[in-house]
Amino acid sequence: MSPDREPSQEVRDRIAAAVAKRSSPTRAQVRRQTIVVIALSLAPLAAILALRGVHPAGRPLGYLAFVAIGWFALGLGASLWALRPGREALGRPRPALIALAIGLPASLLLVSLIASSAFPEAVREPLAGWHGHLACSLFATGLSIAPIGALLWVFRRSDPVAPWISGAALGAVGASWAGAVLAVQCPHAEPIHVALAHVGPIVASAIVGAALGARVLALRWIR
Amino acid sequence: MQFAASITSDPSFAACGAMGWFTLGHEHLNPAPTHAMSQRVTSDPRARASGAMDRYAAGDDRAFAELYEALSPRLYGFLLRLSGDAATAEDLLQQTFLQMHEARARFAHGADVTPWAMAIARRLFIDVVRRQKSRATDVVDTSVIDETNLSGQPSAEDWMIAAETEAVLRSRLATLSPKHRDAFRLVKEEGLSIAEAASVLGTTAAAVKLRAHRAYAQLRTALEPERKPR
Repeated sequence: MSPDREPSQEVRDRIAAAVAKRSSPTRAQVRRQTIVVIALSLAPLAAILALRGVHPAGRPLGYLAFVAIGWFALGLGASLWALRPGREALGRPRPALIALAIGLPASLLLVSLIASSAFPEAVREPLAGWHGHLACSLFATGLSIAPIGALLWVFRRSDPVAPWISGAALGAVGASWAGAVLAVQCPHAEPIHVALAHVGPIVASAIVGAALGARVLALRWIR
Repeated sequence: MQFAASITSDPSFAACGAMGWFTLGHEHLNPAPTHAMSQRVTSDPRARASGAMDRYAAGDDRAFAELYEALSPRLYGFLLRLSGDAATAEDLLQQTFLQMHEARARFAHGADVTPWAMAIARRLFIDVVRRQKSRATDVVDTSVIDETNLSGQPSAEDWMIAAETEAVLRSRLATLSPKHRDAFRLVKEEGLSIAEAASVLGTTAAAVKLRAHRAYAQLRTALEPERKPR
């Protein structure tokens, strides 16, 4: 409609002065910060793996390898995809982030279902009861806090379009790491336990991530 | 221009297009540059802005001036059209550049800065409107019309007719649903591609295409009675 018009010199001076007053990190500085923060957030998971090791607990090695490789590969792939914005300044397309938030837990569940159907001997008595479900859920949730917090901090105030969607995707990605550690530690391989106690916390983290993302990732007026 | 030409063949609409008020093509924000403009513009401002932002993100602080130079007219025009108020547009422009400054590290190498800047500006505008709990106005601010950018020498009557038409178009635009209006504005007014508008609005390209088309069809229907008496 109306053609564009240059803002006044006064506005230009005002903006230049406001920008000069505030320092902001460069791309290289933020990259370094991101690596450090993500590494620190994953340190507890690495420590647990190092201290407790992998618990086969009677599960076949084939099952364990399939689940471990599947969960870690999906978690790593999702993390790299989410952390790198691609070639768009606005980051990944929102429909793709929604697909990630929903598709990642679904894919992880699928990996476990394939593994338990390929290795039925992995499912052994006694099956996990509600006590077992709760213990694994709490373990997974506790381990998820640091990675999710780190991801939200890294991307804070960066989403002008749909921060809750980005938050959901980051929540799922962060929790998938905890889920991967749990997958090699927990002796229970029955699908209901994996769905409720291993994948359930990832879905819950996506929901919590959406709620937190709406606040943490949204732009805030700069005073 | 394409919009004006296609929406009606009425001479008054054509006058609007000739005066550059309908800059609604998919590819260009501005009408074909006049001789004076083509002398002034040495390269594509959009590419220049993206290059400057890239250098700014890498730590070259001097690139901010070039970024502002290349981006501010378009961004300010966008904010003026959005808010209908020069003071609000200026505040939002300042805030948008501050946000870009703070988040410069997030700018992906080789990306286009325009959709990003527009997404930030749009979000800030929505926040302002929500905060003030008042509805955004779509009033024509005739003071924003820069006569020096217009090609040809339209008569006073052409100006009046074009102004009336723009006022009608704006009032009709204001009656559209926000989703349709946003899609139409970004694609038809601001000249973003369907994919860029989709990323700004956080939806799919198909949805943007559909919304912009529906908005266009509704505007066309709404403007039909306006041109009949002419």
